[in-house]
Amino acid sequence: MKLSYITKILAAAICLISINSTKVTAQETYDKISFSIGWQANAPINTDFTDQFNGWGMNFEVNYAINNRWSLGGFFNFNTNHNYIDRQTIKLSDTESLTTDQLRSMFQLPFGLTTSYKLWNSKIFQPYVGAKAGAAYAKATTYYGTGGLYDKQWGFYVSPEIGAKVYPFKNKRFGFHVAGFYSFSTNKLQTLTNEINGLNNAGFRLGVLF
Amino acid sequence: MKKIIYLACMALLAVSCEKEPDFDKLDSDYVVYTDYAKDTDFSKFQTYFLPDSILEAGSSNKATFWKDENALDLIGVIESEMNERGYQRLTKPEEKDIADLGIQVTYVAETNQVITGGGYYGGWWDYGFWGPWWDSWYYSFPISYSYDTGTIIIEMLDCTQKDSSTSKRQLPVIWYANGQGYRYTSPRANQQLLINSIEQAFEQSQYITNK
Repeated sequence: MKLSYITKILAAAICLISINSTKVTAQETYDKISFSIGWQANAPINTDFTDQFNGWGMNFEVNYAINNRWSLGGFFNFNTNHNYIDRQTIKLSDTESLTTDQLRSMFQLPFGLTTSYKLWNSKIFQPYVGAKAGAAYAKATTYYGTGGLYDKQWGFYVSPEIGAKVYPFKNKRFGFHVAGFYSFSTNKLQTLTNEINGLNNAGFRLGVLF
Repeated sequence: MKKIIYLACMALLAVSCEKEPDFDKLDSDYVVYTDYAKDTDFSKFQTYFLPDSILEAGSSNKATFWKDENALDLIGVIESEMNERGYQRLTKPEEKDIADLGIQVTYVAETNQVITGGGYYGGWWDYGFWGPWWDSWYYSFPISYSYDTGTIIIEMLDCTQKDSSTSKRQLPVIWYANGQGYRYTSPRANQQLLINSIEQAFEQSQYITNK
């Protein structure tokens, strides 16, 4: 009888401990996860299509801190770049010519995994280096006259970046995020005037962390 | 925390992923396309026949012709371009058979009525934007809007290729020019756009010369 009573107390204690430890684990996990949402500006490089710096983009990330330095997560971002080309005569083939002005638009949407390494583990200022890799959707559209044409393709995406996370408030979940990045994706796109074989971009991001 | 996530989701929804460009930047001039038969020697031709009227394609089941002052102005621009390049215009109807070149001009005025919307050209919203599951568009209610376009087509025919050794009697088109764009409410503006497109068609076809 007495043994049974002790067993019940032990069982209750184990249950309480396990419940408590579960709560601690969930809290710790929550503390290790951070979200980032921000404005993104970029410029495609050497595409001969829309090599103009535009700020019509956003970046979304979720990161999990593996340890004090490393984090791993997922991301997606998107950007649109526009470029107006004055009226000109284009040789479409040996015998064909086309005279028009053009409004070019390049839309890119990469997504995949992101990782970063903190260079300095301060509570307020955390500079880091990181990289993103995944798939990228890209669409190149040329508007001219009363219509237009476009091509869209998928490609592999890789992007090294350098940035900093700043936590100036008492609430340590909330902060700011700034980053500069370079990216390359393997998308091949046919446009009215040329073929784009791979997309290079440089840009920056400004966002909030929570 | 829930508020922050909610606000983040709202921000995400508020932002349309792909930004449309500012279409006002595009000029109103016609898009001009030209092509020609690669092996043609334009210097071998001396004369051409150009009717004093423009075919209005698609206006009715019967062929109708545009013959007013504006039509004559457009014909005049073509004549001027051809004469500058060393060709001589034959004007008498009976001279049609002896002209080296024939030039026929067609005008197509279209009102594009879009009833179901979407997909009429490459720059329209792509159903794939909303995810890979979708494969097309449809409207569950009727909508409509319209826009007017004008197209002028100039075709140059080689009338010297009358080969009696073959049963084929097809007139070979050796040059094709197409100017196309929006039509506006001002007839004067539309006329000027057509004149500009004819001049541009010749400008980008410097191979048309016998000089």
